[in-house]
Amino acid sequence: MENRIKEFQIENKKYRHLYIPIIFFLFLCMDIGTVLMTALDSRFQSTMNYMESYPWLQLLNSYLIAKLIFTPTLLSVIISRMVEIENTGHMWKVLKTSGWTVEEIFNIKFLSIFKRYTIFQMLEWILFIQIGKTVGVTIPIPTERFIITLLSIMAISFAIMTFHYFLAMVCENQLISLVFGVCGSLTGIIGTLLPLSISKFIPYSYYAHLLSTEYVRIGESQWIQKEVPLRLYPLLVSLLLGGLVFLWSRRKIKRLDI
Amino acid sequence: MSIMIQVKRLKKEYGKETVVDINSLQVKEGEIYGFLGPNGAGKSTTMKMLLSLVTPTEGEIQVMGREMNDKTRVQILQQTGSLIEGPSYYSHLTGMENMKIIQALKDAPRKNIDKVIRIVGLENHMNKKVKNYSLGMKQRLGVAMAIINFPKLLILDEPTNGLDPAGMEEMRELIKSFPKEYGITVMVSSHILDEMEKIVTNIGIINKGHMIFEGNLAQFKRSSSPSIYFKTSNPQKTFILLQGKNPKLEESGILLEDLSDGKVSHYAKKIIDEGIEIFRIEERTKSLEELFIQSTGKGTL
Repeated sequence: MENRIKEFQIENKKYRHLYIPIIFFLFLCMDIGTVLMTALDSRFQSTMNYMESYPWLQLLNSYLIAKLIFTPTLLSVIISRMVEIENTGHMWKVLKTSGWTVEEIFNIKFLSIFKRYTIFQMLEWILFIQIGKTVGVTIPIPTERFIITLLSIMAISFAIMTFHYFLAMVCENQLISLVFGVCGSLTGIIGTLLPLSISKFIPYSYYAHLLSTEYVRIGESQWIQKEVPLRLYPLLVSLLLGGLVFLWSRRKIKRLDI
Repeated sequence: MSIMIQVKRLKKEYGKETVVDINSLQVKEGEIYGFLGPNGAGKSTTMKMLLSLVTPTEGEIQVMGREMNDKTRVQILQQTGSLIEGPSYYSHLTGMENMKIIQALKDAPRKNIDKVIRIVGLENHMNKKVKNYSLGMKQRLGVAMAIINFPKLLILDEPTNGLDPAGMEEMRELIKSFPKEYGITVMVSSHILDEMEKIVTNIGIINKGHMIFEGNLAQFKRSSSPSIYFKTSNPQKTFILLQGKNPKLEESGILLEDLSDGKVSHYAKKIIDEGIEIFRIEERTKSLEELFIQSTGKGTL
């Protein structure tokens, strides 16, 4: 345990002067800004205390759209910066010749990135709920849905992270991971326009699969908002996919000669 | 004197290509072992295998009397310092921040940081970011990182690469001081052979993945007889006279290889008999570089 703490302390020392908190802050502003736009909209405010207008779910939807657009890019940027420092300075050799195993290096760096993302995600979630309360939503929070959604967001991010982590490790040119991040965002957006059965094969679009309401036509020109049943597959598939990619890439990296 | 590195039948293959195939390599305690070879000969790959950065296809590596494997590598590497294929560093951090990371990584005492930066002469540059260092400073930082825990064994791969003549001289002096002052055995590779000649005791010469010589530097030099240079009044005529002996024509004389004392007097007489004056007869010892080119067949390094 003492060793593990020391390993994390060493890892943290490397990230000075990399402006990681500033990058997180910028993306937090974009995500929360999107939620704020919905929360300050007059149509939302005029109906936000009617049960059938699902105010919390409306806010959640705008948050998920922001996640769909920005998170793959955020993750690829953060991962690239944190892995690039080892690639450009040829520090893998030093780490390995200091007696660390490839698995240890792989695990610690990934956990360091994931820890930072988790803090960011929690902070965003608190701010998101705070916005709802501050604008005056009095309807109770759908706790179960919120917990599952939060866990699903974490799981989807984990899966995306494992893929970008592997890319950043094997490709010295970090632009490759960044391009995949931007393409991931675009694919995710496009995926939402495709039939659900197809977009299920695009993990980047899973944030959108958590959208909680949909509009149902009830007359010629009349639509009502309806709650979508909670979907569990984004959570389960992402966990499984992320776990597999993580284990596979760790094995693959172990076999690579430095 | 104990053996620090012992290698037996070490082989590394990438696909069908064999890049290293060494029968034996031995580094003794307290020596500076020069690992020589042209670019692409397999020096770095061999050193990487010694540090378990690259997995050998087959063979046995013993470091400090213990076989290098998954169980022993951590303990062995803790007593080993290395600088492979240029210095490694976090360019966005200062020299001191880099040293603190390495000190923690290698579990070395904190006071060693000051000691090693004094040894490499970087004490006035530690608060500068490494990206603003010159190549020479980066090399010295790399060496400081490698000796942070005053290892028993130091493996340096081309440590003078990219350095100016003054930097090379400093690095050479630094390497020379390690066995005497700190009890560190050094294995150092280079393709700048004149540099090596001044610091190494034993050498290993590798070419196309094979070890073509291993032993004492003096022994290596003895293995090739010196050339004899005749400075004469008519080099062209001398050259024609001794053409059957494969002479090499130089500006004011000729050069003959592999001559016994008896042959020297014989040829000297022959030259004089032809009415050519001899001004000087010199024995020319070959530089390491010439010997190296002779043994590897490489015209360029």
